[in-house]
Amino acid sequence: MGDDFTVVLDGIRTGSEQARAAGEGAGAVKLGELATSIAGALRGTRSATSAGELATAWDAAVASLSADLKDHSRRLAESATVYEDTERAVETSFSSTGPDRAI
Amino acid sequence: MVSIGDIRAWQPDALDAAFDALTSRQDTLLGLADELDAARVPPGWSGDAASSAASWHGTLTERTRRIVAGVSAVRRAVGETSDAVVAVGRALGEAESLARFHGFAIGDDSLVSDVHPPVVAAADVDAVARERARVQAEIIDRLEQILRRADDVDADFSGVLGRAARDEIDDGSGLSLSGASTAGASAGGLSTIEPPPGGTPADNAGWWAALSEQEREALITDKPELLGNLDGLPAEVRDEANRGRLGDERARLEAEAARLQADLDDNLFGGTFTNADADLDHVNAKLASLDAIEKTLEQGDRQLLLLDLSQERAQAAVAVGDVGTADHVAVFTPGLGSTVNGSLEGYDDNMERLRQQAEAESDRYGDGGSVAAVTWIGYQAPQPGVEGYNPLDSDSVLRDDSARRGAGDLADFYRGIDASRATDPHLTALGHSYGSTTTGFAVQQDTGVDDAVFFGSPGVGTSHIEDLNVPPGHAYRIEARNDPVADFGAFGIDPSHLDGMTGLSAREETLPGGRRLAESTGHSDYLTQDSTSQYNMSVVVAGQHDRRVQDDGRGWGDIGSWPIPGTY
Repeated sequence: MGDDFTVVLDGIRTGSEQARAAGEGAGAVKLGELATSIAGALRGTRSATSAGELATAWDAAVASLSADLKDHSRRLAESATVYEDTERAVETSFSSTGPDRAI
Repeated sequence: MVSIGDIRAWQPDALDAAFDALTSRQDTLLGLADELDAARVPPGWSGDAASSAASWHGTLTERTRRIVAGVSAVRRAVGETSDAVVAVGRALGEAESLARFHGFAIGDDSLVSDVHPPVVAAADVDAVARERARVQAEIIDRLEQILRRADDVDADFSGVLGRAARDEIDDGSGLSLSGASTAGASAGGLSTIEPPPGGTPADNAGWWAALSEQEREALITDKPELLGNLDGLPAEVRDEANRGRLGDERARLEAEAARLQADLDDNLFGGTFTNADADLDHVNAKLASLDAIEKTLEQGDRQLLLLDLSQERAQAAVAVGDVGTADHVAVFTPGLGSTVNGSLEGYDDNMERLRQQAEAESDRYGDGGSVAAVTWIGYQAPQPGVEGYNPLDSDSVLRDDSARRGAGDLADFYRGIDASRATDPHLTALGHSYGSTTTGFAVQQDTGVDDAVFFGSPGVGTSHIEDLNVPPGHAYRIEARNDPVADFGAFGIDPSHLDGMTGLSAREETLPGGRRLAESTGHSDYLTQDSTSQYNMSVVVAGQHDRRVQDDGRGWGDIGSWPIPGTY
């Protein structure tokens, strides 16, 4: 396996790990409950109503982002695996048919 | 619409906690920048898959930026709303204190109920009822402004929350999370509500009370012209705002003077066929007025409570002492010929000495209460000259138009003093000559004035004492010997013949302790130091009414001014 190819694969794997970390980090940010607390502080106002809507929107946005970051991580990892497997297969292929092989 | 009950239930502490938590969440989100950056497509990876991964990474980064922008906007809005909620709560607390002090109660529905009406003597029933109605109206005005502010805060805050919920907060340009945070925060600011258009002094006081400290400081710095002349605002605020305007006003007037002078220089006929020469005179008089104001302020312990250069002649009010804290406040209104450039320094000197005299009397006989005295040249007083003596001119001293116009502003100035403070001071209106007519018209309104002294008065704008809205027995006149103006009876009957008006002496007198006081004669010596006239004003101002020296002040001139029964 060539050095450049190895570097790219390492980069993809690192990207995958960081995307997963970002997804987990984003998922841990509980924004909706904060918006709910704002609604409770100003009961009876339009702001309370808007804060309730914001709680729902924020919860959905954060959950979706977290999930998509993790999904991105998974696909990057799968890509790296596919590239590596393919490279090994090609390498194996060349090794079995190459000029040094005794006939 | 927000109600008083809603405001009472608001929880600023919970908003503060939400602000802190949002700060923490914002930091966490900004901390994702490293992970997102490291998740980029690595150099060297190319092809369709790499392009797809890069595109998706960009989408995820942008979605993170939008959340960051929304959080930053809401965080700022929560912080400013928390400050505003505290301010609104404080303003409501002040209104509740005012209500409790006067026996009123404020309901959750904003209803101001008279729960503890005082028991008063029959003779005082009308005056007390009038005063309570004034206080009740002030409380209602304050509540209206508190609710107006609360609605404004709610509308602004709700707007930010709604835009965040709909993902409409602008996250700016670029790719960084910090850039999105900055852009989002800029979208989360609440507006500062402007003063109520045409508001009463109590409206203005309520508006100011409901602003946060940050908003107040920003207004004083950025919009002093909005505050300086606003009756109902604290004296120290008006003073700071008006002082802050002096430099800009001078520069503006100097530029205007230079422009007018250039017009005159360029015109072969000078100002013969234009108004440029008259306009230049007015501008130069206003510059001289600024000189007079600054010299007066240099005396120290002064407050500039009014600065209006928008009229033909400058208008100003300068207090000696602190109107915001003094136990006794006097407001002096001068008459014919009064101008800021020509009269302020002299009258301010009179007020300084009157204040010292009043405090000395208060120390000697009373409670040692502090005194502030204001020279109020807040109207276009008639001027000597063709216009001033022309009965067909509305600015003439022979007509009451100027006095009536000035009285409206003067009444608001009186009301503003009471409205600007947590506790009303003992307030005395002093009016000299035509200024006494202006004062007379002013105190015919509900103003909170406790005592009124008219001296050298050609009439107080009415022939009936009950028209003057001061407590019974608290309207005074002083007439010096050989003061013909005091016998004119031009605006209502001669005050010397007004039943119920208490005459105070301007003659030479010896007080019970042996102190000798000098006589004032003519029209312009009423405020002379150590005169009986000045002494009488000082004891009224100090609330030492039993120390006054009474005298009917009648002379030959009063025979001629005796009104014919049935004609007034």
